[in-house]
Amino acid sequence: MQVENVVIPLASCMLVTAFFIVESRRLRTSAYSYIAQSSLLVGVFLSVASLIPEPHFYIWAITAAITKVLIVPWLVLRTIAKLGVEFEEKPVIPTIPSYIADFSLMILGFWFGFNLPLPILKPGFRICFGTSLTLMFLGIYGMAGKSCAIKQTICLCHLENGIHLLLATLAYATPITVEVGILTDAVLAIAIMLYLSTLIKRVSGSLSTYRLSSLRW
Amino acid sequence: MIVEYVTIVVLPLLMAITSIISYLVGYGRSLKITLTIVYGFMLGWSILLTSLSYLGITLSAFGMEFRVDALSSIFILTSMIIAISSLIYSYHYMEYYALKHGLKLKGLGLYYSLLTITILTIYLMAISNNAFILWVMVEATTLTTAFLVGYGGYEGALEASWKYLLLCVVGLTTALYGTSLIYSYIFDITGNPYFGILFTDIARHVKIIEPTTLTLASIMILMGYGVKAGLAPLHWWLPDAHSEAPSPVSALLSSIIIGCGSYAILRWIWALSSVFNGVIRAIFMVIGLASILIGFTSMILQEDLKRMLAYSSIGNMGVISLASAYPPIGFAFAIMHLFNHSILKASAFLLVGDLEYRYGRRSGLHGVISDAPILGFSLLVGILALEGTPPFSAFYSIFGPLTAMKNPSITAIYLIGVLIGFIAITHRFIETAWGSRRNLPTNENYPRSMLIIPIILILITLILGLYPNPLLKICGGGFTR
Repeated sequence: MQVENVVIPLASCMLVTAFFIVESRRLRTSAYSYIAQSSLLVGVFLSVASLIPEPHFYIWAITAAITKVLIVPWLVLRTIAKLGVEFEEKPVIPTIPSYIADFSLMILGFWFGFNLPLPILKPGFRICFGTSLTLMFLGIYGMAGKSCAIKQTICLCHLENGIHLLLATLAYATPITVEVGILTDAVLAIAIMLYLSTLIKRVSGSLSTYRLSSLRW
Repeated sequence: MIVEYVTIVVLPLLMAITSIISYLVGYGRSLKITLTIVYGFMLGWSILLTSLSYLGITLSAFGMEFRVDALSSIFILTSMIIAISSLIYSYHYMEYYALKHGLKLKGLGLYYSLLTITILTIYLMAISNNAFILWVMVEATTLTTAFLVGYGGYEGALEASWKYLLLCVVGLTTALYGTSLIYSYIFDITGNPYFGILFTDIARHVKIIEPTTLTLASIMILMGYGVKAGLAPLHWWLPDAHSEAPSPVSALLSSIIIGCGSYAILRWIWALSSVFNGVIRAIFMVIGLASILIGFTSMILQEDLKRMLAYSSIGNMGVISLASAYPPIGFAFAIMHLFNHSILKASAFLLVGDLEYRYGRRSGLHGVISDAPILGFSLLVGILALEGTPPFSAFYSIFGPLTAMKNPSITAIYLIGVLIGFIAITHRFIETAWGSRRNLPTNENYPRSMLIIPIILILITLILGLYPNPLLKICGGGFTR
């Protein structure tokens, strides 16, 4: 079986979850969509590992499962419960233009993924690369277009799924210490953002980062 | 062997233990003594490492995973000078800051713990020869300093911290993409996973990378680390974070934290030197010039002195980026400016911290010299030194790159930018120091000993300006392998 035959359905499902992560107004739905996306990411690694003789992909699958399916969602859901918030703050971009932006970014991500002149990328890995770029674009869009601190954090988690996929695509043979370092940074960044979200809510009474406007750009 | 062992194992362990102790013991006299001894030892060791680089000795260990050459040693020395300066200055300043923002004095242990972790991550970044570990450590400095920026816990500090964290974490992602592309290409062709990881190996194999991939990866690396360095147009986080952080943290941020971004860029130029031309070089020059113009012209509109200094940092990072595009001479001046700017900008932030301590504000001040002559005079001298006035060492690093620039248009734009910066900042600080004195409430508890550290920092650049050869020699060795 070809790598792309397995990766295409999984990558497509990841994009569907990406849409829910970014667009769902309920924070818990976003968080659960993130868990689904991370599980699909683990699925991509396991599928590739079973098709090509690269044991590194099993390590990537294990680390993704521990950090992205267990630790990060637990941190996010715990903060949501602690703050007692159900819905995100009013987003900056209205719903319909936001949907249009999501689909445009998906097209852009895949266009780049398939058209960047990178001869090292084999066909199956092109799909992974395109998906990783799309997840990154949508993550950045979510962080800029949403005003809720928790939602921005979930979008960062989503962006980091894109990075994880990219690293596994391009740099899967790096030593384990490198991977551990990158993932530790990712988990710590999310933990710190969630802690800051709690402080923002306590100080300003809201999770909206756009209401914090004491400083000038 | 013993030097390598201490540099790579003992010192990081010592800092990690000190950080844990700071958190557990809490703030007090014993903690101050412990921290001063540890930071003093670190500074002493960094002088030893720089001396070895001066003699042309490069240290390496663990299969070249760690390596200390002239570029690393000068950055370690800079970091340790700033670290001990911020530490000693913090003893007085942070007590005032804690009182002002209703924080517990005992809780300052966390502040010193985070400060030490930050220095540890910077140190590990500087000694790492591994491109991915360098990225991990640059990201780690962002995480630890985000806490320090928001330490006051008020709305402005939290906003600055949030903006800083969000922009730097996202920006640095781009650098990881670039690093992965280069790694992947070299690994694909050579089959050896280490050839694409270690800078020394990347430098040897970079020519096999297909030009489009290399250009794309270089742009990503520059953009990613450029966010951290505060290079335009990705500099939005910098003025807020630098102005809202406590002054010793602003000193750290505006010197060695943004310096981490510049260091990473310089290290990559070092590794890519054999292919550093054409489009890649042009992009470095454009971004450098844009930062110079945007950073220095934005200073004109600023009332807040810390915000003004922050914009000055953007311009100065532009100077480093532009100079580094002209290796090997410009590259040496870029390293030298990284050193000079760090020392003088830290001094300027600490002096503004003194103003804040004494007058409770950092804008709308006039006639400081008539009220506090040493403070006012130091402020003026520090700013003139920062802007490249002789005989201070920043004179060489600001005007030195002109010797490497061959294009008159670039030279003209560069000089116009530097001149705008000079006029904007000196005008505001002359007004602050010399203008007619207004009756402002003063804090009589202001300890004059807080002036010692910034004055020492200015004196260091004065001595190195009068005797520039050692610094020039070490920086000149930064480009050699």
